[in-house]
Amino acid sequence: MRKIFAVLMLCSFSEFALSQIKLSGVVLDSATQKPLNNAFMTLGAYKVIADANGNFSIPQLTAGSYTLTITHIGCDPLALRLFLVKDTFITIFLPHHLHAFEEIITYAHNSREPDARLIQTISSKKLEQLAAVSLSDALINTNGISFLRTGSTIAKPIINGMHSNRISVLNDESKQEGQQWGSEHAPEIDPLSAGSIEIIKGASTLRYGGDAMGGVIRILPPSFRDTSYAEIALLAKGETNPKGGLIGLKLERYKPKSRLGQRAVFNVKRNGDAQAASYTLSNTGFEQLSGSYYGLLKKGNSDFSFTSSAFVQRLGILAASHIGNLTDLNRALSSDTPLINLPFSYNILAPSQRIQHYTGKIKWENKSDKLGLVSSTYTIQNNHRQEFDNHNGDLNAALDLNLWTQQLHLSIDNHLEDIRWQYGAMGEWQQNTFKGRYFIPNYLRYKAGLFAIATLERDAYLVEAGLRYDVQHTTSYHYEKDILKTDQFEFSGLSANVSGWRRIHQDVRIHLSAATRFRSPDINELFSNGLHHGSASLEFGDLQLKQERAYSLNAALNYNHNNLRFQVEPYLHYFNNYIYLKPSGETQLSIRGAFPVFNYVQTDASYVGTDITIKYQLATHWTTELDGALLLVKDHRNQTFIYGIPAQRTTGKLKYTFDGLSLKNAYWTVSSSYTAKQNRMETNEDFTDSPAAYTLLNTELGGQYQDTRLHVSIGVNNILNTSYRDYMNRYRYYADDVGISIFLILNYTF
Amino acid sequence: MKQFKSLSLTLIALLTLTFTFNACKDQVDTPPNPNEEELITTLELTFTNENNASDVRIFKFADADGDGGNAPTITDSIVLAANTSYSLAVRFLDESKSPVEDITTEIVAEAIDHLICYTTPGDLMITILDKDANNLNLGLAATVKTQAVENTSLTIRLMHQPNQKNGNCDIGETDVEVTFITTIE
Repeated sequence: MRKIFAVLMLCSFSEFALSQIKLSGVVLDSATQKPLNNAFMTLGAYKVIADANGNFSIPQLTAGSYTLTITHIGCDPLALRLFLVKDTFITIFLPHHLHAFEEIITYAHNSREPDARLIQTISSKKLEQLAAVSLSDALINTNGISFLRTGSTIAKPIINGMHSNRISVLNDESKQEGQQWGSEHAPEIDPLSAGSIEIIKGASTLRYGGDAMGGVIRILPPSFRDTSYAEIALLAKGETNPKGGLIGLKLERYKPKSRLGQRAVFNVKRNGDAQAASYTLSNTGFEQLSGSYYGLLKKGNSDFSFTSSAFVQRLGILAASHIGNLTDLNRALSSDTPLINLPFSYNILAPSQRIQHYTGKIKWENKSDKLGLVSSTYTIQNNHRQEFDNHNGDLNAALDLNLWTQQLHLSIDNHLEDIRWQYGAMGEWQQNTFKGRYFIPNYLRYKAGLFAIATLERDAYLVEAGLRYDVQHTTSYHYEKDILKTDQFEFSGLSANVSGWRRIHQDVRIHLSAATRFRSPDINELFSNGLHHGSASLEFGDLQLKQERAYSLNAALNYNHNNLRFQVEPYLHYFNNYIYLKPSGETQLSIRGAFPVFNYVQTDASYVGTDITIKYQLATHWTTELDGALLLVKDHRNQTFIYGIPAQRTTGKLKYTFDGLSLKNAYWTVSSSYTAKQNRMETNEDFTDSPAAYTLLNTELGGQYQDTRLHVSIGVNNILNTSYRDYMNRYRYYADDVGISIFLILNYTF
Repeated sequence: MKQFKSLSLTLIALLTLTFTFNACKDQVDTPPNPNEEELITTLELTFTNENNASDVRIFKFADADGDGGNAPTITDSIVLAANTSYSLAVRFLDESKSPVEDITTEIVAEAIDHLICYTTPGDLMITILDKDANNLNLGLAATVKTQAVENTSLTIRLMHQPNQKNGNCDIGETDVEVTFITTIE
């Protein structure tokens, strides 16, 4: 808690009194000298509340020494030692920091255990208000997160400039295992099934595995209120672009007697082709069906939980983006509009993707004085990805990958004197099999990890140190010229992290984290060998790749005072043997024509960047916010830029909060975001120049309808119907991004 | 004691599951052999002199392992006589199989989705003879008329145009694209 540094003036007046003494006074804001009403005062057995003018009085006291405590919303409690001998009037100046903003960075885990990570949380309520059926919907307004997109339906989060294998998506503690190596493979997550989502930027995430250098997105299970209740919540969203909508249902109940909580969620979404500013993006329809069940039973000191979820998605791939060779690509690039232009439709034709993801999880937690909190989790996941192309049509998948994963996590969380200790172990079994076209081989992989983290917390600072060891063994199976080849790979290494925060002033906190971590080359980086249709390029993996190692520094400065909040999060990641897909500058001739060749290579690279958020309350109902994300990436071995890094971005937002228009706790926001042109690219490396800078304008109005439990929001995205292309969207070679869209979201709880 | 009981029960359940999934292991070590997949490795052009049936010229482009992998092995140059009319027959083959598979029959079966296009910067005059069910050009058979002596090139493209075919070459996806150096002597 904040330390008291109240300026207190004690003015006493002498006036004779004998047995009964009266203490009276006034409470003023130290900054404005204006009276503060409703300050709550305690003096021995007496409890009084200051009136509207800040006045209070406590009569009928006897002479003696007392402690007067004053509490007020937005202030730190203040305790005064008084020695009363006669009637006394005091003026109390309270440093009334009514912070306009809640702390966005929490420096502790929600269990209030000491923790050094930088965490941002998105609540379940917020997720429902966003009608978030994908991670990109859920994280869209989070500063420092951008997306690697393939059209409007496939988006992979980018943190600290990194994505795919350098970001982990976790279901509580178990890593989500899909085909995350692919740039057009989005995480198979339904955020509406989550209790909340945590975003942990940077490298202080040893607990969750060594390879998430960029950060971690953690999906947390819901928590139940400790009263008997049963509720049904309905969610509906309709939008004009892409035309379609979403219907969601949530059932939740808790029985305090049996201490059993249950929650079931079911969502269905469908939309047709999206529209760019001036044409239809043919075959970009989308269908998703997702559901989950979560049960939590508390018994004695134990919590048992069971989670199961299903996720089925079918989505179209922009017809014009599926091309045969470099001639086709050049034809697409030289045309202003997509080469295939069909009328709007809800139908999804080839090329398309069908993704199924099923998860089952059992968790057991036990709290005891001797061992602390012991937790064990078993997770099983199945990910089935099918990609259909124009040749094989809708029936036979051209690419068919089936991934089974089983994970076991054990951890102990204990306090020894004033140090919090966390240790744990994890084991993983994973099997991938493919049918149809070869892209990555069949493989069987075993992983194991061990970690220990010690945390020391004091009033003004916190220090944490952690160590982790990971090992993995992969056996791959594939045919090369009719001969079955079996390859074995083993990678292991240590990760370490020291981090902490310190309060240097009651309004200022700094966070610092230093870490070294490693990532083993992934299956596609080792084995890719062939044509990538979407980009008309030949991609070659390298079996000789070594693991990459990152040395990371993350910092944060957080200032929160009265009407201003300021937050800067700089970072520096230096990589040895950084693995990436590099254009070779050569073309290779085949019967399909000529193709540019891309190779997975290793180099030394640095990521330097910062995320900045400034919030300022202009007036009682008006708030402004300015967000910025800056990033510079360089290949140090070759002294060049690296392909595929997000451009610089800023967003400005104006928010008006009010009660009116039959709405309560209503808000109206207007935001404008500017994305610069990515100039940090090598000439002639990409097929085309990076897209021009663009500005988008969005607005939204929302609130609770009267006194009902109906939450309504309505908004317009890309108000000006700007035609633009984004550097991080793979469709930028073929078509513009999505144009104007109007949406309405209704959320009702029975 | 109770904790141990539930813990051991969980462990047994886990072991059973692990055992069950290890049963799938058989699948892992028997991946599909991609060579069994359809592949176009070879483009074969047969020119027959319309005035002299015994003047048959065959030119080939062959990339035995398809896209990627090794570079093409056969890259013939076309050599034709000046001021002569030839009938051209085109075949697409998969020579990675034994016996060699003729993909041309599949193209004929899906003629409404395919188009073979000819382009040359020179003076060759190419007329497509065969049509699909919609009476649009297919291009497996053509007449090639040579003019004066020249050094030029001939590009042959197999376009895949499902639900889009309108006779135009510049739509759809290129399945085959080969440029032959061409000498008219």
